[in-house]
Amino acid sequence: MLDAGNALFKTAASTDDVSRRRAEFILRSMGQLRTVAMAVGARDLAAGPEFLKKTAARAKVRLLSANLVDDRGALLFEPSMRTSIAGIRVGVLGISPLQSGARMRGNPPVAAALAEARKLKGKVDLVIALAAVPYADALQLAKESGDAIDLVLQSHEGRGAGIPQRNGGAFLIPTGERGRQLGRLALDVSNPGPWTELGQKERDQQLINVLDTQIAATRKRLEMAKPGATAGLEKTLQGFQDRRETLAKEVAGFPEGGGRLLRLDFLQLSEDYPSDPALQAQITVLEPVPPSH
Amino acid sequence: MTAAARLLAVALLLVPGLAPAASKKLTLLFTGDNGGEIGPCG
Repeated sequence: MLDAGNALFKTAASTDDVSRRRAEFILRSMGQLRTVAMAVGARDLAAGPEFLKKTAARAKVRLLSANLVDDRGALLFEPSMRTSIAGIRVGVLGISPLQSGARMRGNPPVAAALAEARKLKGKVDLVIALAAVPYADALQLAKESGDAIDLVLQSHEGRGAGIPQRNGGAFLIPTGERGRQLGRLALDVSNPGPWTELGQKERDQQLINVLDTQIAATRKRLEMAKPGATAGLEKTLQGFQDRRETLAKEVAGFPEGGGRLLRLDFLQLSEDYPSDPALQAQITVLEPVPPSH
Repeated sequence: MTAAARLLAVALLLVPGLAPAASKKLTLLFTGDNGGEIGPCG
């Protein structure tokens, strides 16, 4: 279990006692979940780095940030960690947003992440960046990471669930929002080589099916159109056909086996999943009236 | 039913899945941007 950060407070300015108790509860729950590590985001620092450090230590949750430093320039948290899962060596690093303050500042996160990733490369089989930074920074990191980082798990704006994104470099992975989803990445690193995202072929095939329906409907409309009034429909039809042809080529050229494989999905934590009774009882005390949003 | 309680129940259910069937397969579970929520309306 990993957390990309921005877990604890509703806003970066929530400093009241109720918010602190909720933050303590969330960290305790993360410890119970055996969370391996969490990046330090803006909404984790509302009560200050000391509160966060002490609470996380009690909960046995490791906090990562390769770019948050104190007023003397010393790192406030561990920059990265290494662990082994069934023989696969995994390196995890964390980054926080660029910020400046009297007693704490965030250095440029992309440069810090790349430097930390280079230290991990060669010592692990997989490098994961927990990026509690704005989407634009995470995108830049993913693009510039080359082969130094495999996955960038981003939090900051609450972008919700989505699909892996890749423009060279690492996959940029959304991480859900407001406790409504649990992300799951199934990875197969049995074979060396470039990553293949297994959901891409399925999404392309679904889009081809949609385009087939649109092409058939447009042809029908063309048959019924008055002579001289078909130019627009013909242009639309050609656009659909061109798109379909491109997608069909991509599906046909999709790698079959070989390389490393990745599949992402999200479990929506709806009423379909029963709550843990002991935890539910504590939540009722902390929040007697559920929020209405 | 609240998000935190559901998350615990589901994640612990999935923990056996963390043990890979083959030597080079693994499943990572993750969250992000919880934003201080313990009981959203779902």
